[in-house]
Amino acid sequence: MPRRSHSPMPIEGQRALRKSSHDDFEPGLEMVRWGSVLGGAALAVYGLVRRRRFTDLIYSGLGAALVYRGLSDSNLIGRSLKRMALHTAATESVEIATSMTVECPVDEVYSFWRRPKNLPRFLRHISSIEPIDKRHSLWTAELPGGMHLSWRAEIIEDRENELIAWQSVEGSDLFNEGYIAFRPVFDGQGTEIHARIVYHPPAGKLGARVASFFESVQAQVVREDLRGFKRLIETGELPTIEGQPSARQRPGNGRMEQRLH
Amino acid sequence: MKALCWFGRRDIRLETVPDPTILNPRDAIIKVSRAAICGSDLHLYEGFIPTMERGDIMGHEFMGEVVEVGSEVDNLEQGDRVVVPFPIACGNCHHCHVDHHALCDNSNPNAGMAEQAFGYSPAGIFGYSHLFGGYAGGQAEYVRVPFADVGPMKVPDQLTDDDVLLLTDVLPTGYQAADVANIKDGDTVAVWGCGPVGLFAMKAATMMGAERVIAIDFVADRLARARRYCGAEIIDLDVDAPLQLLKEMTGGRGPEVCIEAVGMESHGAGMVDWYDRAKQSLRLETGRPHALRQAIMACGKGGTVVIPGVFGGIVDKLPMGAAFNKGLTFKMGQTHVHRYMKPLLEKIESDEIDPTFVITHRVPLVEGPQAYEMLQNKEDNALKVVLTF
Repeated sequence: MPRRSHSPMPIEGQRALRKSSHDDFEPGLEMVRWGSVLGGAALAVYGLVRRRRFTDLIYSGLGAALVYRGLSDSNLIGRSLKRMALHTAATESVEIATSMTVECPVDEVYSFWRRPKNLPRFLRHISSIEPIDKRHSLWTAELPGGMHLSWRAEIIEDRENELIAWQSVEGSDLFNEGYIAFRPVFDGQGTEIHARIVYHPPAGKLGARVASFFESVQAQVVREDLRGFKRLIETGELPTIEGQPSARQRPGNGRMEQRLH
Repeated sequence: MKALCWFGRRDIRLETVPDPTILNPRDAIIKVSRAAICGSDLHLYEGFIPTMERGDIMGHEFMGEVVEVGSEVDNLEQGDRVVVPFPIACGNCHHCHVDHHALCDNSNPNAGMAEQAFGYSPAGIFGYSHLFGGYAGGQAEYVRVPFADVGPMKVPDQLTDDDVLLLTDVLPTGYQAADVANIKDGDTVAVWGCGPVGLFAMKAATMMGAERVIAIDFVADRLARARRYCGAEIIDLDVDAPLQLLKEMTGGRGPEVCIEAVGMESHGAGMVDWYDRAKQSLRLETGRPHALRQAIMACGKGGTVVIPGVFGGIVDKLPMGAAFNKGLTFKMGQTHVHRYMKPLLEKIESDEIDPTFVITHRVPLVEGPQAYEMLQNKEDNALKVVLTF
């Protein structure tokens, strides 16, 4: 697994600065960015307070992403903050590792993962993955409020029935890299899946704060995505209680957040 | 439809809620003909199981008629009369493949939450808190059954609802308790708790070769039932000192098997009981394991302690030294109902077991809230309350 070195002045940070100055010319951007920060914070808090269902974790994660995006690009928070952030500390990357065992032979698991079109079925925060060529694909995450976060991923290593490793390419909204590795178990009837994803947040204290928040929420999101894959491939469906009856659906009985739906 | 819903501690209400619909291809909708209140529902009633939400529909013991099936359910059709296991199991994962259905990997939508609590997630359970999936339960006119191609079992017309209803939980639960205990011919089996699970464990222990079954409880009517229907000798906790008496009754050897069919709200006495009650009320301890402590202390050397009684969190002051130094074996867990339903149905058909002896009350669904209160207070010798529709 190739790893990026973490310098005190990371390339991603410089790229963020460049990107920000370029954004100056887009009219109406401020509204969007501040909307992103405030909306993201509200969503993250909402998700964290509820924290009962998987979707709540998604809300938190997406909320954090919105805050991150809004802060990292906002002119109001400004270049000064960003400059301060860049000059305070080295960047720590956020590393997420999780594993899951499925009752399915390794060749079936590998070929399922190798087809990008399959992945949004269980990567629930990813709205689409468009193949560009054999090694490249365009990933898009849909955020509440009609916003999108997208990046190009390049497969940097591909060993049949063993491992797929990827890296986002220059200019991505969210820089990330990782691999998914497969190991046969249960006499070839099952497969151990080991996933590792690394995000590179912006530098400095601000980055660290975003990173730690991102990590606490996002690790669970990745784990739930992997669980979603296991459930789809083993049972053909994802277990759910969304849409089942309860006495909360009668006005006046429900908790506050249930009435929001 | 009408449903019994949880609104808080000792607050079960009859509510009108929307009818369930098919949400996944392997779902079925059952029109409930009979449901029962389980002793473990009383843990929810008393508020000892966390992650219940106001408005959740109760009930994990139910049966009825199939009224709708999802596109992937090909073994059931409209009009089939079925009993439904209380744990929900996919039938496809590793644990289902080895008949550990209550440990199914895939049926709990809140597996992430359960992993936080238990390290790994057990199966989803109908009407048993969001830690176990938050599934709407069957104390309602209709219920949605996920993985309906795996769980529900068709029952023959000649058997009545009451004959087969208890296959959903308490009969297999009592039976599994004896089954995992490795009972050998001539063994003495002591059972704490003469509720339906304890009584069925006694029956099963005798069927598996136990020479003596000793029932331990403080409710006179339940002890009488254990003596009459299960051939048990009895120890009345209000009168007898169980540890001493068990030792005398077994010639100083102690029982080979001790079954704890009480769970987290065991009734103790004296200082330790006050300690447990205080800690439990402050949620510093989630169970009062009085019967479990007693079972461990009473169990003979090299014996087996089986725990079908429900525990959800943390208990204090377990006599681990006694367990270790007597070389005890522990067996516990939710019941793999799927694995026992068919063999037990055959035993009901052949009259080897008649589970109806535990049913004391039949009340209409609309009187459900009062039925909970009655069972909680053991009024009118309530043992098993069946809800009719």
